[in-house]
Amino acid sequence: MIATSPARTSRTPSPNQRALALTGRDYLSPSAISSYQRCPLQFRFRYIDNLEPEFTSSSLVFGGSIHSAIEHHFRLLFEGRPAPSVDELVGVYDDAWTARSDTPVRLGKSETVETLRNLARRMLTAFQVSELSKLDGRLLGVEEELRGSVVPGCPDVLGRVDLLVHDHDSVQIIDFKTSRSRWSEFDVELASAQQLLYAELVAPLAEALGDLRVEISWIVLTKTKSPSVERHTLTPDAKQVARTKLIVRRVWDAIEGGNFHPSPSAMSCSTCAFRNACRAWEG
Amino acid sequence: MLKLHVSSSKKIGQPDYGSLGASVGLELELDTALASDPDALNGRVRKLFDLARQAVEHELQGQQRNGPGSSARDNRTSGGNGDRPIRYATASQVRAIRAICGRLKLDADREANQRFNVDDLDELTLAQASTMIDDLKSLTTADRNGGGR
Repeated sequence: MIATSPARTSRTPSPNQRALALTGRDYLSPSAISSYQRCPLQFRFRYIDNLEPEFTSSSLVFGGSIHSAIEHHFRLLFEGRPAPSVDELVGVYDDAWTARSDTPVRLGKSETVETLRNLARRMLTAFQVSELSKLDGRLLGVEEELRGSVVPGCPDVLGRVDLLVHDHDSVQIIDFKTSRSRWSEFDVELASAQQLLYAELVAPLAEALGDLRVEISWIVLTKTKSPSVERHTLTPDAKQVARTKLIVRRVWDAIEGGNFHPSPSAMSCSTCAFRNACRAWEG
Repeated sequence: MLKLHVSSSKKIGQPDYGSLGASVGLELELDTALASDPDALNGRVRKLFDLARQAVEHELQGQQRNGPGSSARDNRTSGGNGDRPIRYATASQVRAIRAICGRLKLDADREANQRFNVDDLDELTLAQASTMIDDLKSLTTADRNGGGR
């Protein structure tokens, strides 16, 4: 008797397949990378163990809801419609707040849902009257999802770009941020890693449009009594990009190596949504 | 019965001494009465040649997009003509075109086909989609408010 068995081939899983096996996603997002940098154990709880956060911080829900309102504004402009009124934007903010409130929202000491809503109205009003609500150039994307291989040997990077605009000599990646105070150069530096990765994803697009320069910028709305709306711009240089890629490489190696440990910090732990899981962690 | 037959073919060079080629033949039966109207007959011939040439170009574009050396379709980029890669319209551009066409009660895919000879919106390049958005916006009354640019 002759027995047969199916032919077998051995193949090393690709980084995307390894990421899928580890996290259930066949890519890395910039927010996952920064989550690991902030606290490797928090990354594990969120992306590998898929634990539900115990709460969501009000700043996260607030920022996301403001973001939704601004996205709505630019989507209307993109579709050739008039800019929405502030009331319409606040309506979008309200809907987004409700949609994001599945998990209990942890408010700050002096905050209520109403004081935050009033702040949102002031910020959205400041945004509407700002020149930055009327962009120069052609919109290419609003909340555009980009994906690609950025670092050899690592999973694809997938992210959403708030706005993608091009003019005669550049493609601009624009990110909207809410902040307690005006940004300094140091804030720009801290925020640059995510945008530098996006810049790598946008580079082929800029090339296709005529070898245009890629520029990254942030439009920062302050959560102050009189909100300000300011733009900060950075043209990526090769050294910054190389450093960011190196960080991604190291983070991915550490994730694959199972390097998960708490990273205690007075600033991060006090607002961490996985504190109970962290306390119960035994290695 | 008058029979009209036209054919068109084209070959383009590829890196590493490769080439891509496509050819097509079209045959059309016409009323014999057309033979006594040279202008009308020439018009039909020209139209048939245009159709044949478009079919060949379309076929070659498809081969270039799907052929070896091009990026994954998921990345919405393809090989192009050797100068620059073709970059397809972003999802946001496609959404915006559909939304504007919806308001103008236009069939978005048909509009794209008429303007750029593509089967559907997904085949538009980034630049074509930008142009189409500009054109469509100029048709909307909302554009008078100066939004979006």
